[in-house]
Amino acid sequence: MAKLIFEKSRAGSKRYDVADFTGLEPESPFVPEDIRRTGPLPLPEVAEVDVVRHYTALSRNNFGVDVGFYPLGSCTMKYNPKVNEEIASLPEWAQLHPEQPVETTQGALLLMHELQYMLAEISGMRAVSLQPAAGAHGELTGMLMFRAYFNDVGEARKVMIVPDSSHGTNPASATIAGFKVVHLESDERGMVTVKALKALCEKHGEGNIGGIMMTNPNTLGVFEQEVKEVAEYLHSIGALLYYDGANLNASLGYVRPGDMGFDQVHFNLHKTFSTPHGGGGPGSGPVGVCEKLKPFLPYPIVERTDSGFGFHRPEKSIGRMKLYFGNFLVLVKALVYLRALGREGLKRVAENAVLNANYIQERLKDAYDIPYYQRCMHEFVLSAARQKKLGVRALDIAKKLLNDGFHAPTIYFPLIVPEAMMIEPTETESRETLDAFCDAMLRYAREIEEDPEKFKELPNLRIQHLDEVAAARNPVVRWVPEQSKRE
Amino acid sequence: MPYIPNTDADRSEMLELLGLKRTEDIFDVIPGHVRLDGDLKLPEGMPESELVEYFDYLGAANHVFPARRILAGGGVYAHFIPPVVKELAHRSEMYSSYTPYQPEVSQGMLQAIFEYQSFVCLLTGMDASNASSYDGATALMDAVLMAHNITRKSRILLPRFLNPQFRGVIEANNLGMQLELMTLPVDSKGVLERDALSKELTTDDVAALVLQIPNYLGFYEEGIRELVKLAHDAGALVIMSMYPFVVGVTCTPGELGADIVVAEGQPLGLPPSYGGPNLGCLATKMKHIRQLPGRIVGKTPAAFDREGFVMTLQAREQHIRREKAASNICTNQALAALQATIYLSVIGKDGFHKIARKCEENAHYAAEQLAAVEGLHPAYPVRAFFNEFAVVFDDPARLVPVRQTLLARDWLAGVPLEDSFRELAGGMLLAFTELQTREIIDEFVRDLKEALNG
Repeated sequence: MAKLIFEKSRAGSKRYDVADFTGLEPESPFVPEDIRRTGPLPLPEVAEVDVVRHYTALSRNNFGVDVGFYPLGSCTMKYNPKVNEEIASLPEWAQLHPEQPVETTQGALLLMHELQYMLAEISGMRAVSLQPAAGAHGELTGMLMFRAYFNDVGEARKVMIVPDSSHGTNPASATIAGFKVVHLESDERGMVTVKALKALCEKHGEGNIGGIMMTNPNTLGVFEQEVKEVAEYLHSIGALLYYDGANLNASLGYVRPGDMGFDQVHFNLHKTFSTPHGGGGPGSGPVGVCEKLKPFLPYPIVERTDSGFGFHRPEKSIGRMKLYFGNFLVLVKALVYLRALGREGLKRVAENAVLNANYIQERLKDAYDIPYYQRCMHEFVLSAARQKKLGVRALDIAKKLLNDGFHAPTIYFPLIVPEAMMIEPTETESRETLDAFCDAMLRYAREIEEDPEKFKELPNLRIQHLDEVAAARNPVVRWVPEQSKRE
Repeated sequence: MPYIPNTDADRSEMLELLGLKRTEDIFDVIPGHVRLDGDLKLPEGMPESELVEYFDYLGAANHVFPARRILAGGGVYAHFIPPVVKELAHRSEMYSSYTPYQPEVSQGMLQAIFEYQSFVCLLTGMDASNASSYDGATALMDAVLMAHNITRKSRILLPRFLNPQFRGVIEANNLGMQLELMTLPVDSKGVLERDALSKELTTDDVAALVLQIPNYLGFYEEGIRELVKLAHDAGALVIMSMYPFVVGVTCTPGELGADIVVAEGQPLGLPPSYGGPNLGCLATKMKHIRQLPGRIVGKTPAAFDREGFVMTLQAREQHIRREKAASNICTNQALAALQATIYLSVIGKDGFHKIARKCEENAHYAAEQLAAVEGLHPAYPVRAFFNEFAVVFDDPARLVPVRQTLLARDWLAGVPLEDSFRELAGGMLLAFTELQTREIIDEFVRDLKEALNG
């Protein structure tokens, strides 16, 4: 472990100059005495050059898409174009204050209006709100809108269905919005069927069903064959369909959630539209809706008026999900990307994403189990069940990939596949990269058969076997000033 | 095609392995009746040179105020950001990484988040921070939900002068949470009515008292320590929402008795960005850490007698707990947290306290100068305030034209208050940071006088 920035502090090593600063007394004369600060907070004092070296060193100890192949299933770790970053950091966007009158931000509103339009067109929806800050935030927005819609039509529908292969955020979002979650079992192909769905709805009472949250292609990377029939059935019993847009990359320009029958969708701009993941965020999770959900959208929405662009509050809006207008700079990056690719480019994205995934699946299908083997979309899930019998888990294979300079796939998800490894290469990887990854995975399969214990050695990883149990049992989650003094 | 490296030759060989002829055949598993008929109605792609031009053209339709002429806050503030902050936060090893689920290759981001959590704990006076929430408003919503989960009580007391957008976010989310939200009234001097609070607290069903430091109008609630005690005596938790720099001059919320603390972290090195991305800071006491939503990074032993960082307490989170999770949050604002961490490291102890004092000094200097201006008055008689204060035009109808005149002189003057607080018609909230000098403030006061007289 490198030293913490706090541990590099040396008293007096960093002076920070503020313009027109007149050597004010350290204690404020303006704060009521009972709450006044009397001594400085123990913040670090580190010279600028050492701050630079500290964070440069940390960055060199971190794996990003710019470092190497990152086939993390469900996360769409595609290349982040540098022109996105360049444009979004211009003062014309980054220095806008959100309290500026709209007459002074017409460029920003035009940009948001254009993005609203393009997302609506891509998804086959009627209107879009750019406000949610992330995919899960979009889901929560969607579930609250479903709730508001049912309140409005005077129905107390309480049950939300999620397939057993769904993302964990789906049931969590539905619960926070006040729905009771029930799980729907997939069939032997890993798909949702009307038959199973109908049985589940009848069991809970068709009149209680608020709707379903689905990903399509689903988390197995499989395109749901009965999606249209599922939509028709659910609509016939008065329920709504929510589309989790995490896997939208697979179908850009070929299939639209609106045409499949979904009533609402969220987009993950940080996945499908290349704005970076940022080590965990910020993302952006705009929502798109069909006509009947439009009045419930969160505000503000950008609209074109006779006097230019302005903000609008839909008549039955659920209100505000976040400060101001969403993660605005992420919106800028997404629009740069969409403008770069255009109509045809989006189709090429989907084609190459799907082709790359199928290529890897085909190369690995004999060496590993693929429980739901069929034509996949942008990702597929293999199982290390065969290797586990020899004493090597999916986790060990993941760590071996890290050892060899690849990022690991998503492991142990979806929950319905034992020893799951979910592989999503994205369209921005070359065949050469895919082959290097496949070659490694094939070599592993052989090595595991030959000597499973030796396989588990990780000579290239400086840090390994981090004790997660100890971390949870006795959480150390911050630097403590007193402690460092004693040291 | 940009960003797609495979050649036609690559594709045809790959297709051959799959037994396919044309690339679009790859989609033949999609049922025909759901496939898009025709093309998306979208423009054609652009080469980079045109892209840059197009976004320059859009950007030209915005007006960028010089940072020191932005006298508006309301949650988002124009502080100075040393160039080194952007340079470091833009290291692509950091921004092109995913959530650090694989600690062996993510120690850089994990350590940065650990440092972020440590900074948040120092500023809030708490001992456990999450790795970030979306923004201050959603962090407050998280805190409210936490208080409800900890106390199993359902009433939430909100102060009258809470940031109206924070209130809005709580109200929208409450559609699902179904908590009872009560707003505590203020007297004619803007002071929270102590009797009303005491009365609300007698019922023993209050989960939390929420306080904002300073409140939306910029001043400190009177007798904060007594308010905290009243709430605690009634078995309620105290949630405080703070301006990060305020603790340069005040005690930390922890020292004042808060149980959960939230902050909008944008002032810590993030540009105003038209309101996003911002940074939600959320911290609490160690005893509540298992109710704290969002990712948390912890330090732990590793092989070869080393120490490292991992995401910990994941049993709280949605990817493990699904519908039983403490929250649905997954993606957060990690890069904003990294930027705040770097910013705090760069300004350091000296800078943090100087900036806080200068913000306060500027606001008080401006208030003094404005006191002598005919035609406007303070919203409330002398209250102790930090870097923001509210003034009201004697003739409320003057607010709009005066702001307009100031706009033409390149001032972003204040946030109008009437939409959120009806009693403050003709009022605006003025904010100051370390960026102003007395000379700039004098110029503003002169321009304001002229606008009023004009």
